[in-house]
Amino acid sequence: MTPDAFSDLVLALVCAVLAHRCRADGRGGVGVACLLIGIAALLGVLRFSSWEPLATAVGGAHRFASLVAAVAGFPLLAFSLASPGSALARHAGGAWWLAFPIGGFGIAAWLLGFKAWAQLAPLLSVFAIAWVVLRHGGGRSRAAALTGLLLLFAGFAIAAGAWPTGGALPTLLSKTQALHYALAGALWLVVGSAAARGVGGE
Amino acid sequence: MNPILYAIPIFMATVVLEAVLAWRLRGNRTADAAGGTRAIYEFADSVGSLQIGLLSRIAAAFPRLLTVGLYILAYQQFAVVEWDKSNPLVWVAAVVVYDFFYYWKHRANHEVRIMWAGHVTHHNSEHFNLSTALRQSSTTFVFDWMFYLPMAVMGVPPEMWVTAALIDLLYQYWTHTELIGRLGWFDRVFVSPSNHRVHHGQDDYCIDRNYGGILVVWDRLFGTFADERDGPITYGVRTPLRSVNPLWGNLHYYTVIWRDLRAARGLAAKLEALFAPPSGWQGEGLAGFDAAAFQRHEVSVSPGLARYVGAQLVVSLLLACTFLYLFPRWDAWQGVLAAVWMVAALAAPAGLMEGRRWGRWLEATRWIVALPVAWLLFL
Repeated sequence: MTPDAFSDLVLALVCAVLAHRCRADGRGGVGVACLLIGIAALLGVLRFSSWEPLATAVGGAHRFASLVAAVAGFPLLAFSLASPGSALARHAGGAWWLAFPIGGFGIAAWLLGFKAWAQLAPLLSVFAIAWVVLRHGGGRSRAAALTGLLLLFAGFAIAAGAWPTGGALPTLLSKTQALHYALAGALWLVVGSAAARGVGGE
Repeated sequence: MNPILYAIPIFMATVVLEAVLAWRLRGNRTADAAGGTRAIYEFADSVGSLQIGLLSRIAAAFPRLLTVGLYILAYQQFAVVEWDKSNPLVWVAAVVVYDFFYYWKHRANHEVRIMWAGHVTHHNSEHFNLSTALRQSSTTFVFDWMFYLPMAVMGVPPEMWVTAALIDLLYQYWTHTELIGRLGWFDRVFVSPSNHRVHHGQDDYCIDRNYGGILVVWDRLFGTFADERDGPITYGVRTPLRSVNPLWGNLHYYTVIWRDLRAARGLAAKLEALFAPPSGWQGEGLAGFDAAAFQRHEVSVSPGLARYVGAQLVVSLLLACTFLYLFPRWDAWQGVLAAVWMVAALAAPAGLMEGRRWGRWLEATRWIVALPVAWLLFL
């Protein structure tokens, strides 16, 4: 397994655990969002595997799933954290159906040339999540949420190209690995702390 | 060439054949839940269904390029493998895969309000016959295409996808009949008249059941299958249309959603108005249906008016075929002009049958402007 594939595996596992927990505690929307991101990560494990035929075969599926995660997963996560009492955020079935048109129209925009939507949709979602985190109480869970938020912003900065190409850092972690670890940490802290404070739950 | 053009004469011939058989075999009567009988074919309902069907073909001409185009773009960008077009088994596999995604699309059409608003058009007839099969929505194209994007990612070539879609659509036509009874094992594997009757019923056991297109095994797999029970089924929807107007048939549930949207406060509530299940999260919107007390909407049409409306339907049918044939050759403004005239031609007879004043005005107006419109389109 390559280091890139391993970083995607870590992200996929974090998403799987969070999705399972959210399903159990009535946060279907957050669970579906984590699942969408996790599916992309799981396909990434295969794409970045050292076995070339498999990597080539799943390349398209991974890019598609990543696009879905960006244009549907993150907006759904933001909505579900911001409106935890909404039936759409509580019912996994409702969340799936909400994610579908959000994703469908997002993909359509991307296919028709508005490629920036794949960055804008998650960025707007992160701002919405930041608003939720900053709005809710204090304590240790808030500190964890703020750390998660910082990691989330760091993840998007990395995705946008803010990762050095020279020096010691890139030899330690590639841009792909940095993005995946940042996202994994961010999701764990933001979603986990939301549960601890009752945000995103019933 | 639009392949539906070839199918239209077959559809019309089989609708007439079924109506003749319904009269010959059963005197056009079947049992209803109140213990009496009802018509299998009712003139205004069948005309309304055929007008809705023609309207859907005209509406579909416009976004067709966009939805097929999006599939092609997705295929070019993401296809993981190339499907062998020379292997017949691969084509069969494409139909099965299409049918799987059709199941989910159809399920969403029933379980999400904004999608149900489009699909309800197919269900708001209170009769069940081959004309009901042609009663297709003009607005479901907004969401339908996105359910098949995974097929593009799987590498199903666009021509295979379009063919599979056509096969799936055409297969479902024959399942809309009360003249064919149960078919044994077939009813448990394939979509059949028996299990599709359940799908169109509004009795408690029928709601949100049997979504399959060709295979009903998807329903058995995902827990939405219901076998037909003894006794008559009450067809239609719980928010009855009470009209044969093809435009209202397409739009009436959108007005329900619009009312709820206006009443909803905040983004979450507005999203719920759009994306909640039509029957509510716990099925609370379904309580209290009494099949025996159900009053069917029937429009009484005089023999003279029936002959006129029947003749207009034949004219509209021929003009709709002409529209579909010429649409790709016309400029955009000509397409829009022809479509507007056709919409008037399909709505006006409904107004006449319902005795509406606007029906007479619209009918007169569309014939007065027919010559200038024809001149702009053909000369």
